[in-house]
Amino acid sequence: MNLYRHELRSYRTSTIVWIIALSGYAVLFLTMLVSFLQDVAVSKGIIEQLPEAVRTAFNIRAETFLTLNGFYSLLLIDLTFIGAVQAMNLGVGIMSKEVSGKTVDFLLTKPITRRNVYVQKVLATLTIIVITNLVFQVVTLSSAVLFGHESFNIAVFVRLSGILFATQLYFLGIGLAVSMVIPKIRSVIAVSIPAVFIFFIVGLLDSLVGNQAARFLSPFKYYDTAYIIQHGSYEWQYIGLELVVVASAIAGGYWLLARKDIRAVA
Amino acid sequence: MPIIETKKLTKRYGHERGIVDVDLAVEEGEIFGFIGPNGAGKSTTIRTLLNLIYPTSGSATIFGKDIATRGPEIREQIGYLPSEVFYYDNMRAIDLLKYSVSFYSIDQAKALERIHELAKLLDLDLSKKIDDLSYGNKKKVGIIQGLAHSPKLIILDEPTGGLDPLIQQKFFNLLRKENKQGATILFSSHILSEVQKLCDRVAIIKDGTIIRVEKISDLLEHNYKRFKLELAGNFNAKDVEKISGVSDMEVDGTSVSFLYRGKVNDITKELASLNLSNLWVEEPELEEIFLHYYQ
Repeated sequence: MNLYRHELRSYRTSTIVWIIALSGYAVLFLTMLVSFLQDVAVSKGIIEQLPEAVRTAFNIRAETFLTLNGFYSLLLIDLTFIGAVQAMNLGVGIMSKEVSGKTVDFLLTKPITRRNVYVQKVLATLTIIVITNLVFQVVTLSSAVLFGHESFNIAVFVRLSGILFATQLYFLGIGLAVSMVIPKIRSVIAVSIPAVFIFFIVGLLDSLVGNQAARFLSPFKYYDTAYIIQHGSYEWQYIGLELVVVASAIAGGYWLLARKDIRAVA
Repeated sequence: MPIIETKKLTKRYGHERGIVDVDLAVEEGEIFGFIGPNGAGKSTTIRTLLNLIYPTSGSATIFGKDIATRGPEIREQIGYLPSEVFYYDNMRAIDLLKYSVSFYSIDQAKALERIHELAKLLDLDLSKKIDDLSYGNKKKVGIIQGLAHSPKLIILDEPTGGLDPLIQQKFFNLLRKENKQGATILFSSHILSEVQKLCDRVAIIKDGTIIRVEKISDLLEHNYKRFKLELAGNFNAKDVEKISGVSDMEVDGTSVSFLYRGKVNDITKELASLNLSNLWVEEPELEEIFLHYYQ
């Protein structure tokens, strides 16, 4: 597991930065909820003045906005976007990092199979995502308890936070698939941000047009916060769909890597 | 049993030629040169042996094991140094080298000892970050990385670029020492003189095909040199042209240039009768040799 440890070490700083960004963003806005709640009537007025389209696109409803879980749902739109970029970076970087850094020769001339390289690298990125989410869960839940002065459904809150994990897992898979399809990726971020953005836009279209097909296409819409708040659970068919997509991406990534010619550095 | 044996090893990149029907046999304990111009297929052959690319057809064994099925096991005993080295820029040299040996099932403490030994010999500061090392020093990291696990087979793909003459000398001595202790070496290069210095036998590759395998001692007898003469007085070009072994002669006023094949001692005797004002003896370009010797 030397490669696994090496990978974790090489992502240490960036992971800390991402965790601070995600958790910090959540905490900052959760504290703002306190001031919203101080004058409910004014807050409601502001929401009702928002254009209809904006309210639909971002799923803002006055009656839920001023509850902790309702407000948190809105925050999750940004949080999942940020988290998706992190995960996509990891997925795209798994092999392209070695190729663009030209270290792939070093790695693959060691006595290790390509399968083993791949497994250790995928495990390392999964570990990073799990750690990110564990910290995120603990930080957001504690701040919700601290700042939310009303009682709220903890189980629902935790499931809402779980959307971040599910989205990140999905984009890890997408990143892997993309990095295997595009042969030379010089900049990981130049690939991942536009890709995440496209999925995000597709998701907005789903809300605006109410197109069910669009929902299947955008992982940002797989986990509907209103549904979770109402039922206390995820929609299982989307979990199933996600698992199929991620598993196919991981398997496909391996299939391509195992057959790939690593040509000399030009 | 040869250490490396390839049978009709062929690699095509789509329609592009890589190598065609390469048959090689490198025997245990020899330093085997692999020479040819850039783009001839040296790296393609080596990368195929290392499983970095997959052959289109043909087969190869290393230590008698099939490269297609037993790659990792084979690579346990191989040290590889490419022409250009790239490592993780953020790592310190020592951490990179520790990481490198961690892939091998060997005594890690012993390997670490050897890393320090080699670093001392090559005069390399291991505490520096890879990113802060000069090109030559990165190359030294590459040498240590290739030798730290005491491999039985050392594969070098144009390894001397970027090494200053002093380090190159040390490096060659190191290779000779490894060879004495039993390591087999495959040394690829496009510089004939360095292959001559080090190798026992040499395979010459051109356009993806092995055109000759020779002992260095034989090659030296058919040694080619590029002579350039500057004459002080009048001379008859035919006097030079008739010397046996002279070809490709060009006359420009009082200067004469030609390719000579044979023993240097023989021609200097012949040239002594001429009224020379200057004389250069140069290593011919490999291409020139290919043109005149291997037609």
